[in-house]
This record gives sequence, structure tokens and C-alpha cells, in this order.
Amino acid sequence: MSFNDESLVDYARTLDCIHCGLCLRTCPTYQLTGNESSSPRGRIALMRAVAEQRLDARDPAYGEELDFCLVCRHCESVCPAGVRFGEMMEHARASRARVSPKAAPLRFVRWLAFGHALRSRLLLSAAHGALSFAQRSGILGRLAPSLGARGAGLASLPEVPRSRDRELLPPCTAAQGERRGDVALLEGCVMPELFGRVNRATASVLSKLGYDVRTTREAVCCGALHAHNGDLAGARELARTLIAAFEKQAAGSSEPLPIVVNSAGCGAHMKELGRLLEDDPSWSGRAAAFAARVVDFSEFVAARLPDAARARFADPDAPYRVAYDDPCHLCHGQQIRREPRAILDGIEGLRRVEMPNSEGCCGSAGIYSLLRPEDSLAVLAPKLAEFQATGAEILVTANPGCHLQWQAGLSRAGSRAQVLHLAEVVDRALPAP
Amino acid sequence: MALSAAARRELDRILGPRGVVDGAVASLAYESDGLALIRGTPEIVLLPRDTAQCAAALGVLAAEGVPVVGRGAGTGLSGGATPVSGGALVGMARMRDVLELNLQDRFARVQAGMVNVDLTNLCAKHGLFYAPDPSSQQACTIGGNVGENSGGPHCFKYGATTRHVLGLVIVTADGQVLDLSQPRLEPDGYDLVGLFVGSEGTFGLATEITVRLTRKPAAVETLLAVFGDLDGACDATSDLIAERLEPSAIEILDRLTIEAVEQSVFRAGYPRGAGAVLLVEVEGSETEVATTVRDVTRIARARGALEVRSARGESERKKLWAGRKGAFGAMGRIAPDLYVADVCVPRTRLKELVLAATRIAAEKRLKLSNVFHAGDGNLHPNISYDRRNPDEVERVLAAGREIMELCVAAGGSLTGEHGVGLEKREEMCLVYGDDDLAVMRRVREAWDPARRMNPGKLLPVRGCREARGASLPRRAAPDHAPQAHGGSGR
Amino acid sequence: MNEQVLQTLGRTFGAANVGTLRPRFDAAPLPMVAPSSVEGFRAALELSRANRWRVLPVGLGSKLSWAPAPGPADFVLSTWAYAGVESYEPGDGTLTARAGTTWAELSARVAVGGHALSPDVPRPKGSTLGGVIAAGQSGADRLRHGALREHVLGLTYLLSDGTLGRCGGRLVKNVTGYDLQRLFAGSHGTLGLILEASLRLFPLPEQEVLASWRAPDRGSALAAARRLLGPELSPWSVVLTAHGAEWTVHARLAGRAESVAAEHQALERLLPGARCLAGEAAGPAAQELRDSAFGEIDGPRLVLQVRPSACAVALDVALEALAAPQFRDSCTPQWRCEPGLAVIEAALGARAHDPGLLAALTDSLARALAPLSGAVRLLHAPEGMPTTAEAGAPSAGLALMRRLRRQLDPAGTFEAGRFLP
Repeated sequence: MSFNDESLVDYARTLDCIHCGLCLRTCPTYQLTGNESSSPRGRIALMRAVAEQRLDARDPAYGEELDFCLVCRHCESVCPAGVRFGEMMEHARASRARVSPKAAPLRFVRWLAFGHALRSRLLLSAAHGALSFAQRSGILGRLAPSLGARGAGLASLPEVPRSRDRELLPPCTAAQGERRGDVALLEGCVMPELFGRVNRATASVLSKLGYDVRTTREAVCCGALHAHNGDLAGARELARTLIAAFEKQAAGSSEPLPIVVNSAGCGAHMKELGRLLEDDPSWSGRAAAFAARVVDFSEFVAARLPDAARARFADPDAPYRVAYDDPCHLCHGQQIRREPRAILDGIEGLRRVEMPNSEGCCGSAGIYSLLRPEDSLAVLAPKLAEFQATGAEILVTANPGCHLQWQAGLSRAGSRAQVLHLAEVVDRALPAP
Repeated sequence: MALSAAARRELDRILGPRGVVDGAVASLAYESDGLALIRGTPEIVLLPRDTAQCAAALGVLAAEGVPVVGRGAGTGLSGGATPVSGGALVGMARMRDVLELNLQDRFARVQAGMVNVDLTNLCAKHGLFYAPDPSSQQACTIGGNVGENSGGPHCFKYGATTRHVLGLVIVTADGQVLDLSQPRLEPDGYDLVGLFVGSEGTFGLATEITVRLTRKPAAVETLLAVFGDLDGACDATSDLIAERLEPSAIEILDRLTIEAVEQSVFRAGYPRGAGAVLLVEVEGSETEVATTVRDVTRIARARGALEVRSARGESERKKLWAGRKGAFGAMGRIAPDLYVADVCVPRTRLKELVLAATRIAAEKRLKLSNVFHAGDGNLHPNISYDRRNPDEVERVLAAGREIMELCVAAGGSLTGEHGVGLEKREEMCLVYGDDDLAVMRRVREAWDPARRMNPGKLLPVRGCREARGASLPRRAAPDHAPQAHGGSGR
Repeated sequence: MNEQVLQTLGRTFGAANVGTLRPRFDAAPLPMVAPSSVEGFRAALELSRANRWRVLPVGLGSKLSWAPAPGPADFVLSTWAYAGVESYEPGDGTLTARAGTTWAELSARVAVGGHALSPDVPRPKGSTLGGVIAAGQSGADRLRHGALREHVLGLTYLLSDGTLGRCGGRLVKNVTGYDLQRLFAGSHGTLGLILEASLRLFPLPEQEVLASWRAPDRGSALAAARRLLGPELSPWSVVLTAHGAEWTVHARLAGRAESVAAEHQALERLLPGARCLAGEAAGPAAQELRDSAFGEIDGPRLVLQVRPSACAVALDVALEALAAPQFRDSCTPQWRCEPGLAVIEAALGARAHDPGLLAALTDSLARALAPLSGAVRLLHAPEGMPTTAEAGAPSAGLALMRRLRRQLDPAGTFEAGRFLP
């Protein structure tokens, strides 16, 4: 039996899986199809078969199962053997990308998005400008039907904010009130373009809590989407740029500056950069040190909010009903569940309700909702029904992809419920000191 | 025996989109259940949505003379859902609906693919639960539980699946629907429902199941008794049984299992370094619970428990149980594969047989751990191994067989809850004679004269006299030996 | 009586060892043998095969008329002489005994080790282990312990072709092979002869209380029973009996001393004015109650089962049906009801022997109770009642049951007619 390096790594990992099946019920694609090969255990069996050369990695059905996976990592939260499924999927997709010609049109979309656009601020804006133009001019609405299901996905994208909403944060947002220290903030690639207001809210909250908030323009994309979709080389390259940028920014600080991330997907990836670069001797140590600095917005704020002024979102006698939907890469990727809830519970004028399957995937999954809109909506459907059953007026999330997905789903369903990022809720509730 | 093109088209029509799955990739995913040691490839996988689809599909398969294997979630540990004879595999994963929930008379009628824990979650808010709780309850289906007559920790008090199945809708091999779904106190004629439970898919496919729901007890207490070694925990269990105490569950976890669980996402707070823990749950009225807790504590201390403590509140209790139930999967941290034995023994002989299993494993240089339903005498000596090592596989199988032989000789049985399946098929001759098995075959043929339902399971292929003459055939080839695989290998 | 059968049996077993038994209270006696060894049973079955005789298997014959009437048989094969405890394992809570051992003997044996049997049967001296299992008998303690068929751990049986087979084992938990115990339990001897059985045992109660309360009317009796069946108590049994319009609630508490004491207090609150018998007297009193409720066979016995929530409705339906003019004269029903299990019984009295009338009664009740998952049976039905009308004739799965029968008893030696019209 012969392995190449990458598949050997995969193989070793597939062996952790003891085939117990505890993951099945959590898997959104298995829930959709009832088909074992679209379950985590089934996909691992396929990866293992590839590594053992019982299955050809070029088999299109294998590729389809890899693409069908949302990489929500819900299975990791219930896996007693500790299989790192997300990581395995990244490797499996990467090794398949090497043997399989990029024939499908999907590859092109990915190539465009990952090879170029997300890496450069300029190109991002350009891509964005085009989308924005298409939306405002109505071209997209007319074009979408001819693009089939994928077009429907594009058409359901929320409106791109106007350019003033997309302004980047200043290099430093000064602390308000008593100064407690410095934090670094990752602005990210998609976030400033689609959710500049979330970045501004994040910076505002941190500054109201007494922190100087520092950003760096040298870091654009963390590479999470690249890694999830099998472009590990690209992801490593972006990781190095990112690490270097934040190292440079922190130069002169006496202690490691926490890097606050308000996108669950980016945060989960950044916390694992140590593993991504573990085979690169000159970077592995730096990556691990960087990863240790990464902290999710909710983790950072939950620990500090109680000391701040009383947060009040609305009149406590007429509270808003809110539901928090755990982004997969926060609850399963980073095991953060308590903090966002604690934050919401500490704010006056909110009445939090639980959704039964809040840890289930909403179907956004990075670019999945664009690539497989029908499946994505099918995954969202039961969640949407659950949300509506709670009667909540606000859905709170903590990840841009989920934010988009919920906005699109709710508007499609004719719901008037709002979708807000946790940072937006806190910013609105927290008075300036 | 390939399906005709017409039959294939008909199945597509009956089952609709994503209802028929075939090709190399699907076959690979379905080649084994929770017992990964033995594999087989289905020719086609069918995913019906209801009884009618299931019956229509089985009708088509009957006309084609194709073998049929039912599958719930594929968490079984005896190879019951492994399609060793090829043919069609019918997966119940898209049949997950609740058909009726009757709170007054405390029963539910559900489709066979409903996940065990979903049923309990469904009725929890009404103060009810579904008692059988296999460790795989987060994934396993009620239909699969019916097939195997599954147990679980709390079956000590509540009994295994068969005590909770009030009715069934069965699709027989010829595609007929047998509706026995009315929940009756006494069966109408022969107890077909009771006979069907535990028949491992060899009689037909249960598509709808009427189950008894149980009222939640007024009080619950979960005790964790920590022992320096397994002996003390086993002795304490034997004493509990001899004193006729009636907790609802009595479980034992050994050192290796505790380690694995404590490293996993199911970290429960079991004391690391302990030789064994005895996990006892007591349910009932306040008084009942208080007296039993007092007696359990006394017995555990008398048998040398280093510490006996109660779970503080619901969340700690849940953690203790989640840890217990995740123990099997957590063994993945120790080695890539796990052989789970499932022998039952008289509860007077727990210590002796646990010890013997440990000795057998040691002699064969194997890593053995124990996590088991001590109260029921249902041992699970678990052997960790790597299936890529053919020699180790041989030793595991030999050890498994020796353990079975020993337990049967001591008045025990091959399986307490996992079923015979493929894995222990030939060992049936340890327990039964040819005459006993011939009668079982006759009963099976009353249901399925052509023997197309789950062929090759439960009943030995050869006669026992013949098999005893020769040495038993080794069942599993090592992992990479040539087998009939559907994979399009390079 | 068939002289040829009598003589042939006499030649094989010795004339002194051939007795007679009346298969029904109103039927002619049949020759009977009761071997005390497996060889003996085999010899009897060999004779039956050689002569194409049909065999009626019995224990002590107390429940022969429970199932639809047996058809014509040539001789009776009884297990009562095949008796004795094979093993009682106090440390494991299991018992294995030969089929002819009486329930009384078994109960006495296991009581020594602190165990009890379930079900609580009436007249345990007249019931054998094999008979109780074959009849699928459960008692009022089913409320606490579940049905008998759930406690049969294993069996040894003899088929008509001489096959001696085993299923299950002696373990409280075991799924090795098909659960043929469940098939044999309640099969009324139609599949084969049960020769040996293993049972799960229960803790012998440390303390018992038997409470009885005379209710002013049926409604308050049922309401009282509902209270007793609520979450506060877990009674061993709750039974209502009626004499005329007068209803009495009987509740039995049993178990560990502390629990029973606590439950006793609760019971006095839930059922003020109840007369309570505690301690040593309670057990015999409960047995007496069981025995008297199932008095000597004095005519047909109507048994209704419905969903628990429909018990009161079903009782209304049954009372009303029997109050109809055509029954008022011929039936003197004695009522008994287990509300927790929704079992309603009426001993109809010796004068209720008109097959046509009884058939009409069971038919109309079966129709009325069908929407409530109802089942109607008539025990001790008089001769001449059409088999289908002895409700209990299964509807679903009939063909399958026939195939099972043919597989295990191809020659039809163990009498046709029961269950399967």
C-alpha cells in the first residue's frame, strides 16, 4: 500500500473513528437524505477507502459527498473518539483537488473567489462593486432565473451595503472612559464588505469597555474558506501573512495582545493555525503563539460586561424576545455556548428563548449557500420553523455567513424578525461610560 | 443476482428522489454496521419514507428474488445490518415520524427510523420517557432496537425493548403488510409481536412501532461508588442482587474506560486513577430511593468502596450517564478498532468471569477494558485492536470465542443485547443443539419461507455436530484481504 | 371414551397409570396419562403419531376452558407428574423447574430465599408452572411486575414429532436466538408441550397492606382507584369487585417495609375510611380475595380489555349490555375490574349457557369496544358456541399463525381448533 503524504495523514485520522455512529443524528446532510454516505461516519469510511485504495478519489460520487458536507463540525461535539472531522475534511478535499481535474463550473467560482478576490482588499471591493451594481440595477433579479438554483442563491443575497457602510475601521479606536488596555481586532475579508456595521459595533463595544481597539490592514483574509474547501496551500500562505501582520502590529506591546474575532468561522480557524502549520518548522511556533491570542468577541466581552455600566436594550417592561442561534464554528469549532447566552441574559430589555436545535447548522457554511443553494435552504428550513415557533423578534448570531443565511431565509419566509450580530445587540444596549 | 432494469425503474418510481442509492460509494458506506470487522456490499440501497413505500419496494424485490437487509442507524455491534449476501439494503433513516402520541394511555406509535433519544425527548415535557436506553441511543433507531431486542443500563429495572413494544406494523418478505399495531394488553392469538422482537431482521421489516411510555419517577438519585479494583465493584453488585435491592441501573466502568471517557467530549468527572466505578441509579418514591441509597451505600462500603457519592443535581447526573454511554466510542482513543463482547452470566459469578476475561486477554497480549451492565450480568469485555494487523485480529477473535465458551460453560449466554448477527452465528452451537436450532429455522420459515430476509444472520450456516467436528471457521478476513468490495479500486 | 386408546395407553404406561380427565366442565372424560420422564412423554407422542391420535396437553387442567374450546382429542397428556425444582438461584433471582410443579410449591420454595413469583395466581395449589405459562396467565400484580410472558427466561419443550428443544436460558438478560418463550407463552399447548421453564423472580415483600374500601357507587370506586394509581403510590394491585350495585376497592401495597409504611400513610390520605389489614394477615387475605374472585367454575366468564383511559366507558358498556332483558334472566354477573390495566371481568353464572345468546353478547361487545382497542374473550364458554364468536379469534396475522402451527406441529397432533378458526 502506498500513500502520499497527505493521504497518510488522513488515513491515520480516519482510524480514530470507531464507527459507533453517535454522529449521525447531528449531521445536517444525513438528516436531509438518510443516506449513510452523507453522514460523517460514512464520509470517513469513504476517505478510508480512498486511502486504502479501495475507492478512486476521482469517483464523482465521492466528490459529491465531499462537496455536500457543510463542515459544520457538529459531529465533533458528539464524537467520543475525538475525531477532528473538520480537519479531515480539509485534507480530503485538498487531496481530491490534486487528483481531480477542475472541470466543474464550481471550481471556477472557487478559483475566482479564493485565488484572487478574497486575498486582496482591492479586488474584494471590485467584486463587491459588481454585485452591488447588479443588485441595484436589477440585473441580478433578471439574470438569476437563468442561472438556475445557483442564481436563486445569488438573488437571495442581502443587499450589499452602500460604500459609506463599508468603510474600514481606523487603525485605532480609542478607549472610552477608564482605559483598561489594548486589543487587536480582525476586520476580516467579507465582514467589512457586507457587515461593516458589525465591525463598527464590535469596535464600539470594546472601546466602551475601556480598550484601545487596533486593526491592521495588512491582514485581509484568514484563509478559513480556503482551508474548508481544500485549498490548504492557499490557506497556509494566508495564515503566514496574517500571523506576520498581527505580530508586526503587536510589536512593542509588553504582553501578547488579544486578537478579538467577531466571525465564528474565522475565529475557529485562527485558533487552529498551530495545527495547519505544524509541519512548517519556521512557522509552527509562531502559529501556535498567534492561535493562543485569538479570542471570540463573546468570550472577551462576557468576562468584562458585568463590570461595565448596566446594559439596556429596551424597556424591561416591554422586552424584545430574542433567540440565539449558535454558529457551528463557535459551538462546535470553539466549544463556546455559555458566553453569548450569558451576555444576552445580562442585558435588560431582552427575553431570551431557546431554540431546540440551536446547535444545528443553518446551512450557510461559508460559500456553501452559494454553491448548493437548494441543499442549503433545505438545511435551514427546519431551523426556520423552530425559530418562528419561538415567536422571537430578533435572531442573534455571531458569524457573517449565518447572518446572511438567516436574513435571506427570514425575508423569503416573509418574516419581519431582525437578524443581529451579538456585537450589535451589545453596542446598542451598552451606554458610553 | 442483479436486479432487472425494469425492477430498478420501478424502485425509482416507488421511492422517489434520493430514495434509491447505488454505486460504489453508497456500497462502501453501507458495507458494515457498528461491527466494522466484517463487511459485505449491498447491490442497492433503498430509503423508503413510509410503510406503503416499504411494502411496494419489498414486493418488487420479492419478484426478483433478491435478499433484503434492514438497517436502522447501523449502530449494531453484531453485524446484523451487514449485507453479507449482497442484495438490497433497506435503510429506515428517512422514516422518522411520530404517528401518534397518546399521553392518557401512555403509548406512542412511531416510524421505525425514529432515533431512540428523540422519542424520549418528545415525551419528556409530559413527564414520560421511553425506558430502553442503549448506549447508542443518541443514534440508534427504535426499529433497530426492535430487531435486536436492545437493552441499555436502565433495562435492569425496566426490562429490554421487548417489554416496551406494544405493537408493530411489519412488512413481510413478500411485501405484505401485517398490522399488529393496536396496543393490546394480551396478544390476539400467538404473541407475534413478542416473537418478532429480537428476530434480527430475519422475519420481516418492522416499519411502525407502538411503544409503551413510562412515567418519570418521583425521585432519582445517582450514586458513584469508587473502588480500588474491579473485584470490589463486582462483589458489591453480586451483593446488591443477593439482597434483592431494586435500583434502576447498576453499571461498572474500569480504569481504562474511565481514562478514555475522561479524555473525551463526554468527560463525566469519574475519578481518574480509580480501579473501577460502580454507577448505580435509584428511582421511585422518596422513601424507596432513600432506603435503597442507604443500602447500596452500605454494601459498597462493605466491599471496600473508597468513596460513595451522589450526583449533585440533574446536570451532573446527565454527565455521568453521557460518559457511560460515550464509553464505547471513546475507546477509539486507545486503538483504531474495538471488539465488544456481550456475554451474559449469572450474577453470582460476575467477579470470577470478569477476571477470567482479563486473563484470556492478557494471555493473548490484548488490551482489554470493561464497561458493563453489571446488574443484569451483562458483561462487555472490550478488546482494543487494529484491524490492519491480521495476527492481532486472529488473537482478538480467539479471545472473544474463549470468553464466550467460558461464560456459556458457567451458565451464561453469547449475547445480552447486541444480538447474534453475523458475529456470533457459529457460536450459537455453544448454547444450542441442532434440534433447538432446527426449530428456530422452522419458525423462521413460517415468516419467510424463501429465507430472503437478512440471510446469513443469527442461525449457524452449518449443523452444530458438523461444526463441532471441524474447528469453527474464522469469520473475518483481515482488512485488506480480497473481499467482494464495490469500490472501484485503482 | 375410546376404549382402543385406553387399552393402548394402558399397555405402554400400565393400566394403573392411565386415568381420565374431563377436558371441560361440560364434556365427556378422556383417557389421560401423566408421564414422569421425558421418555414417557416421547412414548406417548410416539403412540399418537403411530395412531394419528390427537393429544390434549394439560397441567392440572384448571385453565382448559380459557381459550376457545379444544376440538376433539383422543387422549390427555398431562405434565403434572413431571415436577420438581431443577434449580433455584437465590443469588441470581432465577428459578428453573419442571412444568408439573405447582405454583404453590414454587412460591414456597423461593420464599425461603426471599423471593416471590409473578403472577399472583388464584388457587396456586391447582396451577402448574407449565399450565400458567401455556395459558399466558397474568395476575393483578401485573400492574407492578408486568406480564408473565416477560418473566419467562427460557423453556424446554417437546414437539409432537419428538423433538426436544430449548430456547432462552436461565439468565435475566439474554437475546441469544429467537424469543420462542414469547411464542409458547399463551399458546395453550397448541405448539408443543412445555416441559421445563425458567422464571425471573421478584423480591418477597417485607411488608404488606391490604386496604379495602366500600364505595357508595361505581363512579366513586373508579375515582378512588384513579387516585391510587396516580404518581404517589406504586401499588402491587388495585382491584374493584362488585356484589350487586355495591363496589369495593381493594388495594394491595407490598414491598420494603419503609416504602410500604410511607405508602400506607399516603393511602390513608387518598382513601379515607379504608379498612387496612397489615402484616402477616395481609398476604393470606389477598390470596383469599383472588381465590374468591375466581370461584369454582360456575359458568362462562367474560373478560374485556381496553385502553386504560377507556376503562370506565367499557365498564358502562358491559353493564348496560348485561342489563338487557335477554340477559337479565339468565346471567347473574359478578364483576371484577382492574382499572390500572383496564381489565374487566364478569362471571356470568351457571345459568348463562345459551351459546347463541352468549355469541350475540360477545359479538356486540367486540363491536362496541373495537374503537377503544378492545378485546373480548369468553372463558369457560359452553359447548356449541361458534369458535369465531368466542372472540379472541385473531384477525391480523391469522395465516402466519397457521404457518407457525404447521411448522411446529405439522400433523396437528396438539389439537386444532383453538385460536385458529
